[in-house]
Amino acid sequence: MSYIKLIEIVKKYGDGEETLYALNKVNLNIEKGDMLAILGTSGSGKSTLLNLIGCLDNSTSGKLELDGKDITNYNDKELAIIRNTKMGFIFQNFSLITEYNVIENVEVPLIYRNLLLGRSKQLSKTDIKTLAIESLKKVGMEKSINKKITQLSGGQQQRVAIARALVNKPEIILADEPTGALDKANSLNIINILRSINTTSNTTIILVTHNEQLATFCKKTIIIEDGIIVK
Amino acid sequence: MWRLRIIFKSISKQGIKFKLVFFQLIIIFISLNFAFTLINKNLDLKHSIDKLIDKDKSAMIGISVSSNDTDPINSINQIYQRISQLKMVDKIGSFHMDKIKIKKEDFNAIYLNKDAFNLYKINVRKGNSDIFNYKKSTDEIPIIISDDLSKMWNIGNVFTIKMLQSNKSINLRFKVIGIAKNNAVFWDSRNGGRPSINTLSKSIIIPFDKEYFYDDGINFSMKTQHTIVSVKKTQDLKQFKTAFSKLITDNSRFKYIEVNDLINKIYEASKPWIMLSLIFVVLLSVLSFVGFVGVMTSYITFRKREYGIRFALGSTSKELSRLVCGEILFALVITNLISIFPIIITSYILNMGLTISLIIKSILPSFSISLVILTITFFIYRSYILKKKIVDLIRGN
Repeated sequence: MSYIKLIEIVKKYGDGEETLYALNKVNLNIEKGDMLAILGTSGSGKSTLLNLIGCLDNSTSGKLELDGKDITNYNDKELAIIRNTKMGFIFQNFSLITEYNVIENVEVPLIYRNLLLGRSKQLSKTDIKTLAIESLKKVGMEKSINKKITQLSGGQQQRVAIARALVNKPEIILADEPTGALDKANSLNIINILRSINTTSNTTIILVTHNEQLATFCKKTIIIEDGIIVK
Repeated sequence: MWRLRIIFKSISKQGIKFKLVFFQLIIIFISLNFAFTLINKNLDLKHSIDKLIDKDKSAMIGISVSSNDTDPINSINQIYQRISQLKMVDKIGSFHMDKIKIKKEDFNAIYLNKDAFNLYKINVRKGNSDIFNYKKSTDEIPIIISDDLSKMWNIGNVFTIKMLQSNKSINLRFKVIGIAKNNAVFWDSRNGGRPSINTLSKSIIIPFDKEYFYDDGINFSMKTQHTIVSVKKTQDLKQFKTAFSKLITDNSRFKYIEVNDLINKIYEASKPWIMLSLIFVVLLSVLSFVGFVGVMTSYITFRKREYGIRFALGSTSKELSRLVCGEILFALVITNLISIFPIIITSYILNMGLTISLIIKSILPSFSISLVILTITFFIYRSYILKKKIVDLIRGN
């Protein structure tokens, strides 16, 4: 059984003659532990697809299943729980809270986890700090826990973003152009970290990129064009 | 607890934008509190007048005699005596205000004769309100002090003042036997200007009685300028006016004004100030509202990306609403509290005699406005954040 299943997913903008299909009847099955690259040109719908899988956006029609459950019509809180406990996000522009320092950024998902899962499952302040440091160690950023985000290089910021994505031990990591803002050496470093996470913890990784070379590091690749999976 | 932590951490990390919001709120609330204090102070005085003399049955009169009169003091006393004997007159009393110095400090000395004490109904605390029941001591004059002076003296304290008595400067010993309540008011026309009603402050009320203190000059001044007559029934006032006018002789002149008319005159005089305060409050509220909406919109939209990231990391809409409204609520509570201090300090420095109840009354509108601000913030947040997709927020769109 597929871990993530997209059935006839349509995402359209506008109405009538001006309708624009970002995704047009997309069907996709992703297995647990996959490392999937979504390739496509700019505006092809690859990021839209990733956002739909990540519950950051709603589809116009179709069905999205996660671990055998139809989550298409989940409410705000149910989706927040999925985003917080099952998914980790890595964005092209790092999307860190610049007012917070490194460790505070990594702690944010754990704090929201405490709010979402109720008192019995709440972590203590010390547990949160320990988990955050543990996660930062995985990406080699444990020595910079008190640094401000603005003091870090692009590669370091992306590693903090990965640590934040990993801190809740998610089953899926969704990475939208994770190396888009990085140089070659840093890109390679990031992709190696992602591969290592995939192999060591069997975390499903879905990576959106327009870089074909980067896609070669993934186990599977799909190509999307004009909202349709062509390969 | 975690929610509070999120709010406080977020506040502590905010930069100049939040400080601007904070600063703007302080300015708004200080201005509003001052404006409402002004209004409330006026309203409080208006309310206090009712506690003064029986205004529907009273008139303020002034009696003067010709400068050719060889014995003006006696003439005035005779007229005063005749007025008191009129059958419709219930009470007659006089007062005089002056400045006295005690240890180089200026105080208002209000001389009240026996009947004026009854007319003025000055509420006295701690001591007996009828000070003439005070057991006479040969060398101490019983006095009542205004509430603000209770910080300086207390019941039983005795102090000496050099004063005139029958044109001789002598040392008089005053003993505090009562403290006027903090909302006590008094006519003030000491400077010969328009009469006004003021809260008693820095005032010493001295009984003008031959038993305690007597001075011909002050007696003359009391009766010629500030005599209050109270009649038995409201309808007797007309009758009194007629009878009073018959007392006019070639040698004497009279001033007559019913207390209700006097109060109306005082109201009319203070009306422009109340109107100005109101206009100021309305203008300030409108300007503050426009300014605040602008700053708040900018502040919320500035943090779009952060809110998007929080959604992606597991925040629900409700949780984010709590964060946004919690931050502003915290700012509102703190700024409201901060804005009380300038009023207290100003009141202390300018000796405005603002009571705690008046200050509380003055800050209540600010608290109501705070609730409006909180609602506005929520609507700004709803329109600019909640209606957007998470991905758009993360992209900063």
